[in-house]
Order: sequence, then C-alpha cells, then structure tokens
Amino acid sequence: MTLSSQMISGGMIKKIINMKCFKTILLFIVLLSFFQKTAVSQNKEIAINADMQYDYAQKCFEEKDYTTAIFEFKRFIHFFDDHKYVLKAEFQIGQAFYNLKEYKNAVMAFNKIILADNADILILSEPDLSESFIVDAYFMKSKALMLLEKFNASEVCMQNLLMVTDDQNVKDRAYSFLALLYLKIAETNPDALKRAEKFVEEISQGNIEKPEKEKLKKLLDDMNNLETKNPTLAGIASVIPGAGYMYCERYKDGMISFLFNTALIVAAYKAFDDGNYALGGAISFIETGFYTGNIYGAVNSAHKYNRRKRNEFIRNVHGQFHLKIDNSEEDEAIFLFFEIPF
Amino acid sequence: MIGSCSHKSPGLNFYQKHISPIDGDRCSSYPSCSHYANDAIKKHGIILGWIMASDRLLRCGRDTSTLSKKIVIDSKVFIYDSVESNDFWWYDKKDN
Repeated sequence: MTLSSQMISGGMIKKIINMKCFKTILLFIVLLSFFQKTAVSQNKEIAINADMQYDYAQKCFEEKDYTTAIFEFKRFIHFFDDHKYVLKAEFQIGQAFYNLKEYKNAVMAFNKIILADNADILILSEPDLSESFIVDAYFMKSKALMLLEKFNASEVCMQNLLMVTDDQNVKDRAYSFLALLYLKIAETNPDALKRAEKFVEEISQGNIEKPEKEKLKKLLDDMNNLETKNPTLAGIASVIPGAGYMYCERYKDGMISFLFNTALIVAAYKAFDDGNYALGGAISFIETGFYTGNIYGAVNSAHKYNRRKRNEFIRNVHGQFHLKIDNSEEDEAIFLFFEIPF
Repeated sequence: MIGSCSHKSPGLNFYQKHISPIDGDRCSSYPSCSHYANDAIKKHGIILGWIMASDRLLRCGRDTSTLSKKIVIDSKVFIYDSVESNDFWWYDKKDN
C-alpha cells in the first residue's frame, strides 16, 4: 500500500513535472513564434530591392537633389553590384556631378564607365543599353573636360571614341563635337579653325537626320569671310600718323596720334630751324618713340580688331549651337545634338 | 598706385615716386601707364618696351575704354589693358 501510494505519488509528480515542461515549451514556442513574426514583419519593412533603391535614387536625380542622388546611386551600386542598371547608375552619378558643375568629379565618374567597359568588368544583360551609356560617357567626359578648358584631354577622349566605334552615327557626333571644340579653341588660337573645318569635312554626307554638317560648314565659311583688318595695311597707313588707327576704326586714337605726332615733328623742326639742336634732338628722340608706337599701335589694333570680331562670332556660334544632353523618355537613350534656341 | 613691379627702371621709379603722387592717380587703365611701360620694358627690352609704352600713351583713355575689358579694383572701374593684351599676336606665337 505504502509502495503503491508511493508509486502513485511518484507518477503524479512526474505528470506535474511533464505538464510544467510542456507549458514551458509551449510558452517558449508561442514566444518564439511571436518574435519570429515580429522579426519577419520588421524585415519586410526594411527590405529594399534593387528597383526600389534605383527608383529612389532616380527620383532624387529628377527632383534635382543631385547630392542625395549621388549618394543613393552609390548605395545602389554597392548593394546590387551585379544588377543590369549598374552602368546606368554610374552614368547618373557622372551626370549629377556634371549638373552640380563639379566637372572634375564628373570626369572621374564617366571615366569609370569608359574604363569599366575596356576592362570587361561590367557584365550586363542589356548590351545595347550599356553601349549607349558608354558612348554617352565619352561625350560627357569630353564636354566636362572642355568646360574645364582641358582641350587636349577633351580631344583625346573623342579620338579614343572614334577608335573604338564603328557606328557612323557615333562617329558623326564625335566629329561634330570636335568641330565645336576647335571653334572654342579658335577664340584664342585662330589656327584652330582649320582643324574645325577638317572635322566638319569628316562628318558623313547625305543623312537628313544630321543637318549639323551643313550648318557647321556654313558657319565656318561665314567665319572665314568675316570682315577683318589687314595688319600690314594698317602699318603702312601709319606712315601718316593716326591713319592706321583710323583704318582700324579707332578714330579718337587716330586723331590724338595725328595731332601729337604732328606737333612733335613741327616742334623738332622748329627747334632745329632755330639752331636749338639739343632741344631738337630731345624732341626727335621722344617723337621717334611715339611715331613707331603709332605704327605698332595700328598693327596691334588690326590684330585686336580681328580677334574681337572672331570672338564675337564664335560666342554667337556657341550661343546658337550649344551641345545639349536630352534624356528621351522612350528608350532612356541619351543623345547629344545641336540645338538652336528660339 | 595701381599695378605691382618689384624692379623699376630709374626713370619710371622717379616718375612713380615724385611726379605721380602730385599728379594724382588719374590713369584710367590697369595696369597704369607707368606700370605698363615698366612691364613692357621688362618683358621685351628697352626698345620694344619704349615703343609699346608710347603706343599705350597715345591710346590711354580713348577708344580703348569702349573696346577693352573692364575690371573693378577698390570699387573703381578700370580699363584692362595689359602688355599681354597687346603682344598676343607675336609674342605667344614666338613662345609656342
């Protein structure tokens, strides 16, 4: 009896223990599932996929918050480095820097794309899309370099593009760009015009969609036919003091030069005539400087006149024909073209 | 005084030290005619410098005022007419 009662009580205890264990386990499971649910739901809240990240970065870009856009595009590239839009994101970083007028950073960003292509680092599922961005990266890099006034580097970039592409459209765009680049250089170096003409000649013929060749050609013809002053003629005209200045449309300078030089010549003549050779010599010495200065000034004025006319023309050309980047909504390709504003 | 030159020819030094302060700071160009002359002589030697300085004196304050760039120094507008603006057509070419 005692034994059986002991056995009963032992069984009871075991049951109680088992019940407690069961409850504890049950409670644990319930808690675990609760935490798991919370974790899952929290995970859902922070889960950002590649498209969401890219869209947000793009949204910042479109809202012209370029600094944030750069940050978000970089985040996109970091977390989704095998995504097909990596190249596009790199390009947008360059564009954002360009829009912020941070041209050095823009050059570096576009260079990354160009080098990435060369090194075959980026494996993209849309080769056409990638190619388009690589080509545009070349153009944008050249343009940024042009704005940094690194003309040689800008040309080298375009020449590199010409070497790697067989596409005639791309080549024509590159030649057009180079022609405009040399027009820009011609502001300080007139010899650059010949190079500009050479690049215009390289643009392929007969394509209605590429009217820039004829426009550029006409502009260069107009430039060559600009009204200029002949420096030699200005120098010869200056034998009569002031006439060279007047030829260069500097009428006040011409008048002063004429009066001043004439006065000094007459004074020197009178001094010699009166036997005052020391004074005559001193006046002649001074007059020699002013007379030769009058010749130098006339030649100089002709060169300045020509430079002024040329620069006015070039500035006008760049005002009418400026390179514009257009984001087409249809295929997201970017075109570089000449635009004539109203 | 407008412009800056560390080494001046004696004649220009005399003018800038004794005549210009009495005559007043009247030159409408930058650098002033005396500094321009000094720069021209330093850059191209006495003969060409003298010729360029004479040319500058003939032009100072007339047609140049409408054709040249302007710069503002101490709230005053000056005509910018440096030696480089007047030898670009032969000196740069020689350099290159």
